Amino acid sequence: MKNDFVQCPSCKRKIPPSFYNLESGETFPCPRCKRTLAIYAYPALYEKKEIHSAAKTASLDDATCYYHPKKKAEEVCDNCGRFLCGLCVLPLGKQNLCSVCLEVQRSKSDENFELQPLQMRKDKLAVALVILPLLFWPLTLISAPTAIVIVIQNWNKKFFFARNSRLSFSFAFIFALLQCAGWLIFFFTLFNKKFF
Amino acid sequence: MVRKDYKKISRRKSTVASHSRLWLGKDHLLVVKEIGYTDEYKRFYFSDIQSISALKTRSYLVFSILLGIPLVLFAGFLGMSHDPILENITLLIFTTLFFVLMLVHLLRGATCKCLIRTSVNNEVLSMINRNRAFLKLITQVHPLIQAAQGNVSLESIIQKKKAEAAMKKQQEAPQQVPVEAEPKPPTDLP
Repeated sequence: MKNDFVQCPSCKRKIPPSFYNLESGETFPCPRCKRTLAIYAYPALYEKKEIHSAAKTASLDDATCYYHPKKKAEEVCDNCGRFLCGLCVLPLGKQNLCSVCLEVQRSKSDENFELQPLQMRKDKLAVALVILPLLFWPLTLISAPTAIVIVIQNWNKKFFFARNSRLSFSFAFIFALLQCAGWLIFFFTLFNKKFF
Repeated sequence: MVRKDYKKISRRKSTVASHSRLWLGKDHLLVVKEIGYTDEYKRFYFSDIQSISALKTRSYLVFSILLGIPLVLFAGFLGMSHDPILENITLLIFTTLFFVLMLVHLLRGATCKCLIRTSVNNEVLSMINRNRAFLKLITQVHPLIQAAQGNVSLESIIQKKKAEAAMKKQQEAPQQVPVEAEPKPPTDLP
């Protein structure tokens, strides 16, 4: 029952449960600092979650962990079905996974958004590569071909929260091509002047 | 595309280097923070949320003062000036700018700091910085969280916990066995 309360975000005082879940929009002053608060608490506050801090040692009749043969099996991996001890089980949302399955799912993570903690937005990078170097235009000699390579490599890639990555890629590609064409014309005229 | 499975429930909060926004998913809240070319995702599953709280902040008053002072000054100068049209136009532009900013600030309402707590972290939702946004969040999310965690009232849980604790105490207390009185030795011996 040690953390079964919500603290005031300002003075960290324990707020009694009678103040929780008041009617929508209703607030109350904190008993200590008098700052206005609204708190909505849920049953999860009082739930004690089992923490697998240590795996139990298996007796003769027990099923054992696939990775630790001396430890008692407590869960089953939802992906591969291997028995897992308390140390090996990795809860992910509603699933229990073993470390190998988690790693495999992360490696083919394009399909599984739930496993993604972050994503590099190559569409934004390509657009930035064709626009920002214009501030110091000689840089476009390197940045424009780089942008073209990025667009070609990532054209079919899914970007989870991109509104329209293809549109960004198309813009970057056309703009980068124009910059490359500009450089080609520049070198061509330079070459012609020198030798003819 | 994943974006279709989510519903926007906050405005985009921008800072110098990042933008963040809150999305409502099927069984969780998702905070998407865009830092440069990277998107960072934080998920708060409805079954894990312990509490959502809001603290009224003083930013509303502070910004009202910060925007009000230049507004009054520019409006005052504009009223007093009898100089050429160019100066008047400049003053008018600044007065209008501060007036619009002030109006938007006042219309958006009181400011707050919103926190979401799970068993493993206590996160500040920076994009929920107005009371109205907080109320909107609560009206949308509160029933979903309650449904995910079972519609149990907090009072009943607290009473149950107290009863359990009392039972445990009773069981742990040493049981006192009544001791029978020992027979007194006879005193009237010769």
